[in-house]
Amino acid sequence: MLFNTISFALFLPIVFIFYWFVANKNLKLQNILLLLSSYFFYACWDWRFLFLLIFSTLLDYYTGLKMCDSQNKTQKKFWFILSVSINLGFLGIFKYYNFFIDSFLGLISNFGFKMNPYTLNIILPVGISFYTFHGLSYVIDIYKDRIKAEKNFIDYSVFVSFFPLLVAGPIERATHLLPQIQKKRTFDYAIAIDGLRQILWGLFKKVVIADQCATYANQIFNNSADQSGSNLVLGALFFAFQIYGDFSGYSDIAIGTARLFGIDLLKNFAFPYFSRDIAEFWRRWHISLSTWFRDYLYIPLGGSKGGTWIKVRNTFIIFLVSGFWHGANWTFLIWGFLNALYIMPSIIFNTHRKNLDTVAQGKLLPNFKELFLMMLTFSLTVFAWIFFRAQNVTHALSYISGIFTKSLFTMPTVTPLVLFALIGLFIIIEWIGRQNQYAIAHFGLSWPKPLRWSFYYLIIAAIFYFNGVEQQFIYFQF
Amino acid sequence: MRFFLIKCFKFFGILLIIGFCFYGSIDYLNSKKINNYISLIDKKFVFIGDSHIQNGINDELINSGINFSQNGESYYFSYQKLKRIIALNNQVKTVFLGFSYHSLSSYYDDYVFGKYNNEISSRYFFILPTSEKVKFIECNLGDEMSFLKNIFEKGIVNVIRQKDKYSFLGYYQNGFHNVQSRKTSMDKRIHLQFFNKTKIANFSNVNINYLNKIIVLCKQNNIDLIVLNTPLDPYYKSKIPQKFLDKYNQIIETQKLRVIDFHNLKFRKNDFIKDGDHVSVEGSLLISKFLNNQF
Repeated sequence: MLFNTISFALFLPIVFIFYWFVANKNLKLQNILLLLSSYFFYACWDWRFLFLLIFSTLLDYYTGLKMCDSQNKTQKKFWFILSVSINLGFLGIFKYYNFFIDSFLGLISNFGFKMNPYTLNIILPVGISFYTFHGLSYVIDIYKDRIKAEKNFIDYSVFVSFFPLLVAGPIERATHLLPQIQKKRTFDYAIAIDGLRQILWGLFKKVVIADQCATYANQIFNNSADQSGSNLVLGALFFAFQIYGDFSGYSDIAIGTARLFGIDLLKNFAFPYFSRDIAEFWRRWHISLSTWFRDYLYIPLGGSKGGTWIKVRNTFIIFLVSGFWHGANWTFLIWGFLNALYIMPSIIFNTHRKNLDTVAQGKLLPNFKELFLMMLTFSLTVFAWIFFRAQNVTHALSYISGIFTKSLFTMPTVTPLVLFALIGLFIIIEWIGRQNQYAIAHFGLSWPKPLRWSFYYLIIAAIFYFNGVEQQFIYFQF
Repeated sequence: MRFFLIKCFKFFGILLIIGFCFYGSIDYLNSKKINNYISLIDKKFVFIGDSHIQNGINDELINSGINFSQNGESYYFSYQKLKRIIALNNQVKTVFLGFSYHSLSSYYDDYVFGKYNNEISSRYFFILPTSEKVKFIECNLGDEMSFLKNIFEKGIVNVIRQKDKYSFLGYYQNGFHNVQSRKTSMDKRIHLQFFNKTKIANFSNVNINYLNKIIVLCKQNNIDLIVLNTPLDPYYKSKIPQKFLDKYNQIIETQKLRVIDFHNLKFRKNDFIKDGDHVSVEGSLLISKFLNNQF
């Protein structure tokens, strides 16, 4: 069940009504309802993988309890390693097994050996990277004595499987989400209305921006050998807007949906394309994953302590792991590596925490320097996205070499004017709302109601009109 | 909570009302425009069928005829269209219906309630009776947004477009100049139309059923029905499985249908397009002139 389908538009109000009207008096009942709805939501994709989700939940729940009950450190460590190994083991089998086998074969074939090992012909369970990271954060936090193990299995299961975040995040922390699940939620009118508005904006980003850009990005990337340099640049730009609209749109829908149930999820995007340097970009892009890696990988590796070279090493490690998290392909590793390279100057010269505020705060327009820095950061990001989108490294390299030809200075032949106008409008609205939780959080709130509602109806009409091009969310594959 | 629900009902209620009004207006405008157009047709002969007739019959060369054919049109939609035409226009005396061997193949079922139904049925949506509209909405549950978008889009285009370009009506269209049939393309076409993977395809019950309905409809309204079997490349024809040739002959005999199959005309390779199944502009010229001389 995708967020941008009629099925979800029917599913959501049904769960909402039951949640607030039937189960309102009883927290336990509310959580059971959330769990069953979440399992139903997941089963709509493929019910067979529901068992994997339940197994993963049971594993972390049980090992969490065992860690808490451990008499000594060795015992605790045993349960911790067991949980982490099985979690990563599943991820390894489903996501990385074929990649390692293929890479190994490629390597040994260079030495003249030939093998026919067993490769798995299986599909990747949707959301496995996300719920595995939920579980991992939980067991790591218990191991580090940051939290106590959750005794209530239903509550813990809702933490792992809560349907808005189940398949593509935001990647939640037990310290943030579990307390909300444990305590009674009260309905807040303003939050619920805001949630609906956020869902609407998320759908706009997904259906109107991402899916429309996808058509042209796919067309250009899939036939990159026949495209002029200017078309290839456009293709990369379209992909940049596609992936932003797709993933931040998903996050907005997830966060908005959770707010309808009185649950606050972690913010995942904060207008990343308005960043003035790569460090700022990474504080604004897929925030829940970046902070996850910061807290559970970068800091345990020593973080910023221990001198410049340790910082450089750790930064490379988290960017490479982050790249690899996205998929079993060398292109993702290079994408991670490129981003690590981009961020290096600010790590070495310790300027990575320079731009902590919002660009041109309180001003209508940025100054020339800010504009230049934003354009530079955006260009570097778009360049790295080429690796992210390409089918393999050879494809990415041929794509890039295709850009730097004479044809770069010709007029592009792909000129979807409506889409250009939509992207322009989108950038303006995002710019105006860049200091808020999401772009239209305060947009038009001071307008008279008929005008404000007309604006929302216009967004709905655009969603309806542009619907039907491409439906799958990119991050489902991760 | 109560206030929230009231507000939601209001917001989505207004949206629904706007949606229904919009749909109602499109439906009304389409019906009005279509009915006006059909009632004003001053032609004795109507040509109806799929791409064979659309490509083949250049109605500019036929004094008293008009071509209302469209690619991928099954007899289900031809029937709905014809019903509307007969109900609104008493000038039409003869219906020329495209009928060929592929019309009997189950591959056509994909064009009614099968995989192409979203694209095809949305063309005809506004001429369908309500009960049939519901069937197509049900059929598209799961892809409902794209279906709704398609019918709205086509409905709006119908209202804006020139009268002879309604999405459901069809018209003569052939852009294939200086081409000729090719064996590889013909093999592909034969496989697509008469085979289901490696097995010979079944008959299309929907198409046969609606062919019978068209025959009855014409009889009830004292309209002559003549079936047109547009020419095929000899290689293509030789590859058609025997069961389809037999079924075709059987229907012609049992229904006592008058057939025009252009057997007295001589066709060259460049009278066909690559697939050997459709005529080129040159082929179309030949058969249209022939029909004009005959009628």
